Amino acid sequence: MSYTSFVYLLFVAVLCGIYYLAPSKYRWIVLLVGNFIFYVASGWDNCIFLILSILISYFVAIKMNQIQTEVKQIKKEGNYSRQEFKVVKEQYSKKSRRYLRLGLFLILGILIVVKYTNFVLGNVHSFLNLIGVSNNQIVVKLIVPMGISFYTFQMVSYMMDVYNGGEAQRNLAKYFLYSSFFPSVVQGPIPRYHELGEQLFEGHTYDSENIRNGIMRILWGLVKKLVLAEMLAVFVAKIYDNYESYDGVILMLATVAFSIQIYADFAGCMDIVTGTARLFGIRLKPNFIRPYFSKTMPEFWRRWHASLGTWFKDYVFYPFSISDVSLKLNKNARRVFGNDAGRIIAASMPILIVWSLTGIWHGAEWNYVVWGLFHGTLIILSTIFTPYNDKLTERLGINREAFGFRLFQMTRTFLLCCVGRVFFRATSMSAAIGIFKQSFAATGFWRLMDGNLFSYGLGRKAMLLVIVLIVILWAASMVEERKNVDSVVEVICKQHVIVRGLVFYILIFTILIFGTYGIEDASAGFIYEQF
Amino acid sequence: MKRLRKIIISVVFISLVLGTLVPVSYTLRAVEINTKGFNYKELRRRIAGFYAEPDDSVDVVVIGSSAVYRFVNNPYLWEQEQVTSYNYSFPSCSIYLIEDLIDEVKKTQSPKVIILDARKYIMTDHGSVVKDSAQLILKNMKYTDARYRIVNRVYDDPVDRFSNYFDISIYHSKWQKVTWQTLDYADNERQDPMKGWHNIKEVKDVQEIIVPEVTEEKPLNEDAEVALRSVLEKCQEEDITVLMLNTPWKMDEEFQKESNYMKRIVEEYGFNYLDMNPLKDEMGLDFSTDYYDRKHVNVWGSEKVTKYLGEYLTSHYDLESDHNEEIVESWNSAVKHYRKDLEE
Repeated sequence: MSYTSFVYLLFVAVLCGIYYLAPSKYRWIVLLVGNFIFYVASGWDNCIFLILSILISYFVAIKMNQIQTEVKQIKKEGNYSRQEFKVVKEQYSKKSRRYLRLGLFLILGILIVVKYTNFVLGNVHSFLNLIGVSNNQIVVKLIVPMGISFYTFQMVSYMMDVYNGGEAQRNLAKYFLYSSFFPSVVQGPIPRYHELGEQLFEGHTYDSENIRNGIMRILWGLVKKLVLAEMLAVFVAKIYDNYESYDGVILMLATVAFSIQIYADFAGCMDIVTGTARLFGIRLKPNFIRPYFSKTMPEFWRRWHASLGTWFKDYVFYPFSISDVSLKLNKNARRVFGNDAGRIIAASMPILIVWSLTGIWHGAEWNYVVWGLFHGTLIILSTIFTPYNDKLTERLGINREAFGFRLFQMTRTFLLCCVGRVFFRATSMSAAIGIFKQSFAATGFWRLMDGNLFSYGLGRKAMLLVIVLIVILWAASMVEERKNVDSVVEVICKQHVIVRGLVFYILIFTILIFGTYGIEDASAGFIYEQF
Repeated sequence: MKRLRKIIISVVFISLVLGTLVPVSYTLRAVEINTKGFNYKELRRRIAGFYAEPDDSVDVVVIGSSAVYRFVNNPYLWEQEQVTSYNYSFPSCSIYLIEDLIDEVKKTQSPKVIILDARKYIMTDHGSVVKDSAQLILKNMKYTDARYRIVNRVYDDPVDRFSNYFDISIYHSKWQKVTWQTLDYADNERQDPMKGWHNIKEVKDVQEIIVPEVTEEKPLNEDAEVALRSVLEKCQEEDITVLMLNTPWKMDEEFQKESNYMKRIVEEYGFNYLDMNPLKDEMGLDFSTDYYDRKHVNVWGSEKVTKYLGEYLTSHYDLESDHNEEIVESWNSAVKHYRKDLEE
């Protein structure tokens, strides 16, 4: 059930009606049933993996929680001296860690098997060929269950939070609801238990503001996805799928267009997701915070797919940074390369690990790994050069708060991002390299003006519409930035009823007329859906 | 009070959205007016033109496929007999849709005679042909209960049904082709200067069609007979006068037998059956100049067929009408357009 389908909208509308008609204390059960229907509608095969992962993480968390309770009980009883208690605690801690490791092994094992088996087999095949061992490539037919990358990370965070002292959910049905909350299970955001859990189980009372806000947010998301992203997709596909025939400015333009497309696609989905949750009175944490307004790469990754960034930071970067391996590396690197270089090298390792994993999380292809490493490298460089850059701007007397300078920083970040997008969009590593070569083979800026621009899949009217929508999106982002709100919808919903009505009206007809939907013009699905 | 205000606002908003949705959908459908090739343009003009005719102004309505709308020349019939007629017809019109089309016609017109296409009962259509032909009328009909019934009759799949009720989902992708001209169709009504008629001046020398003189009968296809009887029963019940018309084409012996069988059924219900095939000589049809393909006459052939039909209609039915000046002027103007187009 795609988030952009009419069936989904109808499903949400019906579920919402039932939710508010049900007695307050049973409302979470309505959501639970809704989750189940949503998941079953996508196929039973999907459900098996989800249920298996839920059961594993549920029992592991319960077990860890029991161990922690026992430790608390022992402490309360006070039968041990401080020294003895420390030893006992350590024993229990080890036991708990074993459960955590088992849970992580099983949960991540499922993800790795279903998502990366063919990637590994393909690489083994290539490697054996490279060393002259002839072999046939084995391809295993595996279904990648819907949302597995997202819910696996969600369950990992849950288990780790419980390991670190968080409370486990004892009610399996409630845990099922948290782990498979249908708006966010397919593409995120990746919610933490403490952020989402209790909200789901509360029987939210009907609030017209939530309904209004939710519907408008969904419509705004549909405009981003079905109109802007889908139109740009036509233009990008026309050029990227046949990149050998294009060069210079046209390829560069396609890359910029893809950067906007993927933003509209993913941010549009997040609007639909957030809007859906809002209809039930549930507020999800923002996953997109105007990323293209970022002045540096680290800032960009705090704003783009924020929940994934936070996840990697909390569950990979920090644990690795304080691990024995990292401390040893730090010590050895300082010894070999000196204090400054050694510190940088040691600090770079967790970043590179995080970004390799981020890349491979997106897809089982080398171009995604390179894309991840590219961003990791940019972040390391940004960390190294920031102090020098600050000194330089100070000496040159540049006002860092001036609009011109901020615009320069934003443009720089955006363009660097575009470079990474080539790896992201290209179908393979060799295609990505080919696109880079072709992009700089010729410039030919005149080609933007010779009228041929309208022959790349988008006609004159469609191109004009795309430009208008980009301007509107930019203006909306400006409002969000200035008012410091999650979405421009929050601002519009506070306006006079006529203004709100007009916006609703425009959104509805923009989707109906210009959107990509229906039996003859079906949407291609979300880009992040495949991850 | 606050709740009442909210309800009123919601009702106003929904009415506004629906009130916009209908003309927007009609406009987006109409982009085919700019499509080259095939006869979408002609079809849209004909059907939208039918809706634009003043209420109760059409004496004879013709329902069927090109086996009737290429033969019954509406401006010429007016010129010859002062009978107002309109082809509410479209390519390959399926026999399974006739009852709904009659209902649609009756919404605005009270024709004295409805002419039905006999050829389609002989050449029964199935499956995709029915769907394809239904699409042609669905994309041109107004949103009425008859249209709703046609959708339900033709499509079983809920997604297909929904897409056709709410057909902006089918045609919205053509928004780039919207022009000022298509906006004229925003209410799905636009008078056609030639009253839905289209002159085809091409000539093809088709071999003379020899109609075998057979008197035997052969039953129609079972589905076709059920459909035929159902339409005839409906017309009988609703006091509608029907003329079943079999226009001149290459009839072989088997078809002729089925035609004879159909004639008996039609007459059983008290209606007339006009088989023009044995009357080609009487009408003066010339196979070297009056056809543009093997199945259809060109404009000169249509004049001969229509002349005969007009005389038949006035001699068999009471078609005396007291049309007001505006209607008479409109039909005279159609004849002027017709003549002018013929001269060009």
